[in-house]
Amino acid sequence: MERTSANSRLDPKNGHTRSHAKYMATACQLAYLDADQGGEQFREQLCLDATLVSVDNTQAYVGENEASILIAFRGSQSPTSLDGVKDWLLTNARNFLVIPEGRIGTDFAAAGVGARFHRGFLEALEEIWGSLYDRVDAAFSQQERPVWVTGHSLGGALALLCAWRMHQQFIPIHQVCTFGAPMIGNQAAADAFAREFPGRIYRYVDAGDLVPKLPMISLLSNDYNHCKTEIVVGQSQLMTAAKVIKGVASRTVDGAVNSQVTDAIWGEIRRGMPSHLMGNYLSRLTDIDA
Amino acid sequence: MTLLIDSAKEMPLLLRRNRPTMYLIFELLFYLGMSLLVVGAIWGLAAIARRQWSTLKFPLVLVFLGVASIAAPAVYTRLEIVDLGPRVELVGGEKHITLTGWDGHDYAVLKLHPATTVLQIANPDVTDETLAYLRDMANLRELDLNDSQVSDDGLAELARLTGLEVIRIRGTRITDNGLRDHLSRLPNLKRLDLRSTSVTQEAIDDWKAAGEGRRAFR
Repeated sequence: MERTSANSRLDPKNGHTRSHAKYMATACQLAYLDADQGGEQFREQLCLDATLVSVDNTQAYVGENEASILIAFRGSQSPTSLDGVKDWLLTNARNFLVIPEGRIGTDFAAAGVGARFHRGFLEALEEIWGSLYDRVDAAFSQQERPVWVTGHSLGGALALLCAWRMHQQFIPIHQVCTFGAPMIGNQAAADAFAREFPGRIYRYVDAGDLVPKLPMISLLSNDYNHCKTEIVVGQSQLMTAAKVIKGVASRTVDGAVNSQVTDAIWGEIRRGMPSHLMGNYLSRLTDIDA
Repeated sequence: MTLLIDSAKEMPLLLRRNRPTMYLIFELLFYLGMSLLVVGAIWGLAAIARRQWSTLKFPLVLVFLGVASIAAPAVYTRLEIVDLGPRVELVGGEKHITLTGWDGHDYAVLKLHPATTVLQIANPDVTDETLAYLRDMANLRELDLNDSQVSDDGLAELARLTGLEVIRIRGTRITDNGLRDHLSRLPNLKRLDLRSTSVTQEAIDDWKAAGEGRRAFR
């Protein structure tokens, strides 16, 4: 893993620049490392004192230095495959769009009773929430600093939901930056996020990456919607995700996602996995370097 | 478990509470539509074969009705109004009510829930008068009034609810006076969301200093 040439500090006064993106992209890649190696690499590459918070299937690194606190969510179990989440993203996507129960339900109902969120991502966040909040709250109480949240793939979805919940618990979030993240809820939810985090959410999407097009209920008019602001990289590719979806959609009757379509899309995702990997995002951000 | 409160809705009660019946009607409409379509098509083709152009309009009407019948469920579900009624949830023995983003107008319904612990009514039509409905909520701990029309006078109403620990009043017309005169009388108040208000940092610092573990969003 080569050292990035990014600044070793996140500057909160500079809005959002390529250097912020590279810093957080590096954090997302390091988030896949296990606790010992991760702690070492976070210190070496990003000058952050980081520890791994791990509960059941959800993991996130919380790193801090005198300038900032960074939460980096790990994506799916393995950085190179999405097996195990086909159900969440495709097969059962409609049934997963809910307002949840419990305390987490109240926190997200503050977005409005018309807002719906993905149950799978919410449950994943709920698993880790207690430990994560305590860790971040302790760091923040000790010294108030800007808090940044980032994540790749499913970690990106968790990053967004985590930021909302942190705000409900009065930990201010400075910026959220995700890479190849799927959608987390419907349009009402996206609108609520836009009001709560104006100009503070940056989603990096590779043009060839299919995952940001998921979860998918219908190929023609999906109930799921994305938060702003989207930044597309790798646009020069011949086979973009949009073209792939169009190709699959043209072979369906009314855009409905049945089991054949699901398999077709899943096959395309497997084929397009290179565009989705964190390494790809990192190299796209490093290539176009001034 | 979600407890629903009845509020006036345009959708017929039968359909609103009984989705299986709705799907049954959709299925019947489909069969009806198919029948009309087939009958119309056969009749129309027969009329064309016998070159009776003038009688063609009857089978065409049948075909049209058939297509409309088949398409009606799809159109209905696309235009269907999502029920944005109040959300009353029991969370760990506490009552949490959210009306944020609902399409109702009558907040008097809140008088029916004096045991509420967490209340979220971050709507633009919430005014100081609305807060009168909260008077009996002795256990109210968290209150979300973001982006509402609440002003300093409304905060006077809240000063009676001494259990309040979290108040969100982002984007409202409140001023330093509201914080100093009214909210400071709430001994348990620990969290305040004062973003996009004219409250000054000085007033916030004074408030934070007067208690322990207080945090404010500004």
